[in-house]
Amino acid sequence: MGKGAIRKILEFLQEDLPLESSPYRSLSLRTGASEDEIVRQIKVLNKRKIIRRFGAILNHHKIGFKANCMCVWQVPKAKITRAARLARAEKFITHCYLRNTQKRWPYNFYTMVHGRNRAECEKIIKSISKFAGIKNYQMLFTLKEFKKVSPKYTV
Amino acid sequence: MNQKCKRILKVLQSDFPITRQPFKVMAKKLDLDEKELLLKIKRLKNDGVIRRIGAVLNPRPLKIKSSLIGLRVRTDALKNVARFISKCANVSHNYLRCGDYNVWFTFSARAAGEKNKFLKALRQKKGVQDLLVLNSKKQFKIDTRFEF
Repeated sequence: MGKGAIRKILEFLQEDLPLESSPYRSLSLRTGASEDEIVRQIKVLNKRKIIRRFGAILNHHKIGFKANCMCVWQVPKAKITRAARLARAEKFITHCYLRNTQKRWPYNFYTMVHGRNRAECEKIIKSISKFAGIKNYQMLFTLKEFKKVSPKYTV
Repeated sequence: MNQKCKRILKVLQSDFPITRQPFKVMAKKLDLDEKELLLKIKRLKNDGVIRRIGAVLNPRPLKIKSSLIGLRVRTDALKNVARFISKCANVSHNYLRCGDYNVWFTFSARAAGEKNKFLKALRQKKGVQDLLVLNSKKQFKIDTRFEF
């Protein structure tokens, strides 16, 4: 399949899939590729990890996760592996990153924590703090969502 | 939300079939009629439970870099600064958070120039007192599927 057609597929998949029995039919007409070819290509893109995830993106507020906290941690180098392992195992943590620090901002380790309420988030954070042996952290709870959209990348 | 809807959401989130007629395959698995399933999914979308069905791309192979930016903004300028940030197409997430640094957003772009240009303009906005650029050095986890 040509680059142009692949680009069209990726653009299409970043939109909202038509809720029809054959959701790729319109794309097939536009690209000239058959629906089966499109499906095969999506599988390849998925396998090559160009696509990170394929499926429904839910609104976490609507399914009961009302509290959201970005917890920033100051983790010494020797404790990073352990902290990351704890964050990975915790199902209410969706994101975990290591980032650069700045003089006035010593936090290098970031976790996104979700809970039904603030207390649930705090409980998770306290448990990680205890088991990873990290005392220096800040809980930055979301007060307002100004913008949240799926990032759309030009390909 | 009833059990039936929960099961539908679970499959849609974690097990969406990549095939020519995905809803037909899903319906069979869930022991539902395809029309009934599509109707239920449409309802969950109208209710705002489902934001979107589609793909989330991995920025790395596309050579897209994303940064987290933290800002300290004076309270009286929040509304204007937030609006300026949200308007930018490179910004996908923008939040007000508790703490000294109160505005946090993500910026993704292929070229660093785009980001620098935007941040330069942002620094000059009234009420912006400080700005932190925090680039990701390592990703340990990203999994936005929710178990509920």
